[in-house]
Amino acid sequence: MRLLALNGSPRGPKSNTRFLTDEFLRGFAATPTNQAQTLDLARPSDRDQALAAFWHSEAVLLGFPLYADSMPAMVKEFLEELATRPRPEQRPTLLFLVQSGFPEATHTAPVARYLKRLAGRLGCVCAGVLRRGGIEGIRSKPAWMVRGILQRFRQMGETFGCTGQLDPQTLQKLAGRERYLRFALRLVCWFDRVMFWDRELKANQTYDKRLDAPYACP
Amino acid sequence: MNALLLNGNPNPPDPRFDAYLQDLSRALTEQGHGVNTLELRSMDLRQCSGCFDCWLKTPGDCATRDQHGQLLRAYLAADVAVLASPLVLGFSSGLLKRSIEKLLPILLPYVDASSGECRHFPRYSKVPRLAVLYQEESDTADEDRAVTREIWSRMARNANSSLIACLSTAMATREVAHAIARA
Repeated sequence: MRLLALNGSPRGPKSNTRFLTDEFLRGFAATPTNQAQTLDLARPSDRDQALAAFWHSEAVLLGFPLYADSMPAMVKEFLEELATRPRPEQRPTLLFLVQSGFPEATHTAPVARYLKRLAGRLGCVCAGVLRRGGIEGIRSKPAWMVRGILQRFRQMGETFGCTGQLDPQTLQKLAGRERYLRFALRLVCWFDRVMFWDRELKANQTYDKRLDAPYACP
Repeated sequence: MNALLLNGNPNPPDPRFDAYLQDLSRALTEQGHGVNTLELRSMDLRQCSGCFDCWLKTPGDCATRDQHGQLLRAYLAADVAVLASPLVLGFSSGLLKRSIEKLLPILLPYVDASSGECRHFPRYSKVPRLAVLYQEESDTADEDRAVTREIWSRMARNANSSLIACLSTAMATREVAHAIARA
């Protein structure tokens, strides 16, 4: 199978989306005849290549981070331009990867619903939407903390590379829990505040300005 | 009431949509409301790059040199912000979405889980309520309307606001103006 992997993260090659995509592709490559090409939509030259290659691919994996509860504007604008291009009769199978910083799966559910509809609008088969929350900072976490999640993405890639399909139940499992216990969430948020945000603010010497409201109405 | 109309009609613009928004602006003004319209396609608004500088390096402000300041000032001065665009591929335009992503500095980096679901704490005590206005495509179905409403409802919640209405340009402008003002 020939797979075109599109990274729709505005952060480009050093993004969490690309990190997960690469893991998926490691699994995909387990089938020796499979071929994959990865393009970063944040790079203008890659974007042009993606527009040219999209309709001629056998399968396309489009990954992105959740931005304001849906796809980044960069991805939406890419899709809008793509839809104006001539479409061949034989169209690619589409697969989506959506990751969010917040841990609950409830945040990514609406855009997944949209993506399934989008695939139909483009005249493509949707092989599934890989969703996962709690991904912010995954690239800097210790290996033992992320091993499990990376393994799941690799397995997903292997299954898709072998069968061209993904099981809806496995996708649901990957998405994780819709909601978490309030106490657990508050603990995680507090930890996040102290161990990450406040540390970064202090390192940038902006901790005292963290609550600034420069656009407040007079 | 002060209404902000964010016109997300992309390039090349659909003249019917611009004309509808002009009528809506007139209807709101006739009803005694203040109206500020931002034509997003004429503004220099760069993509949000997810750098988090607006939280960590220049708290409350985007580090990009574009017209985000004008957008943020207008947004925070409004009582209701109308997110307006034609539907493109079953959802609001990428141009409108780009402007919404530039609102990230109105939030703090800290996450509030007190409701049992994560969202960022607000930076400002007052933010406008939101209304969505769309022009349907020839093949718009109930599922598209439902998904559009669901996504914008979640966005409103996570922006510490609320979605007061999801309206179509198939409605008369006076009716839309009333719906916006009522909420």
